[in-house]
Amino acid sequence: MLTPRAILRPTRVVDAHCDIPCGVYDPEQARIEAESCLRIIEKHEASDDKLFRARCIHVKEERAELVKHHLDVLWHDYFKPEHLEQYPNLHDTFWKATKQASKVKQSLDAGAAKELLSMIDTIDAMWKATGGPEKTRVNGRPS
Amino acid sequence: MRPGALVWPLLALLAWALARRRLDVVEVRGRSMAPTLLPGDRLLVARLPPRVGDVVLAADPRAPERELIKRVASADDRRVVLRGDNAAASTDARTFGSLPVDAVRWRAIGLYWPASRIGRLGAPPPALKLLDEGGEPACTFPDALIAGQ
Repeated sequence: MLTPRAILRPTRVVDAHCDIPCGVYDPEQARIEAESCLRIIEKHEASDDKLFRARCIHVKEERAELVKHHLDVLWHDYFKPEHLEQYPNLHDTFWKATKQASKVKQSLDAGAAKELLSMIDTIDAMWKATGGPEKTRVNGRPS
Repeated sequence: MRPGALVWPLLALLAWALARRRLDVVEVRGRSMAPTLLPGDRLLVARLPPRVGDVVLAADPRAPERELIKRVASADDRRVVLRGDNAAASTDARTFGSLPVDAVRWRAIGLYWPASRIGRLGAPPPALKLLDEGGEPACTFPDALIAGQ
């Protein structure tokens, strides 16, 4: 029915928006969180304090979630179609790495955490080869 | 003739134009056009070519499924430069450069909601300044990071 209300109802939303990608990306951010996971798993293993072990699990899950977050940001904000041409396995690499981060979140397997580190290193190599340190860090990656 | 007698013919005309896709009604999201337009404002838009000073709708060059609402800061036969009235909170030509004229397909004619601000869209605020006029870049980042996004 063409009532005045129907005529005046907006058909779509238009954006008067502003976005500010800061442009700073570095897989190191994900790696540090993943290293935390590994160390926490080792500390959990070495302790018999029930409360401490419970805290280890809690904090490790938080850190693993941060790994996933940092990898996701790299994946959809830093990497671009031309990088996919250079690395046709880029999506697969990220998919597997974020799945591995889920595994580290769920388990207390030091081997899984080490595997995650090596997957992040693979991504780090892609980031370096695509000019990440010069393009995204303020003065390159600190050595 | 009672003033109210005009309402139905006008609405009929509006309905006809809407049906012909010459006119449309849209809602604004975001604050880059403040104070001219605020989030939730509803506008009548028409399929008209852009002129300098007009508030227009254009496909976002970086995400074509998104439609931007900005003001035409300058234009020639081929290109338009779009800017938000609220420079400090606008992603516009300073970020994505000028656009081809046919990227702009709708011109905003007037605001009909909220009723307290009903009317034609006014002139841009004096704060709207292009970079080469000494305007400040407020929302810029390297081209390399936009390319391909």
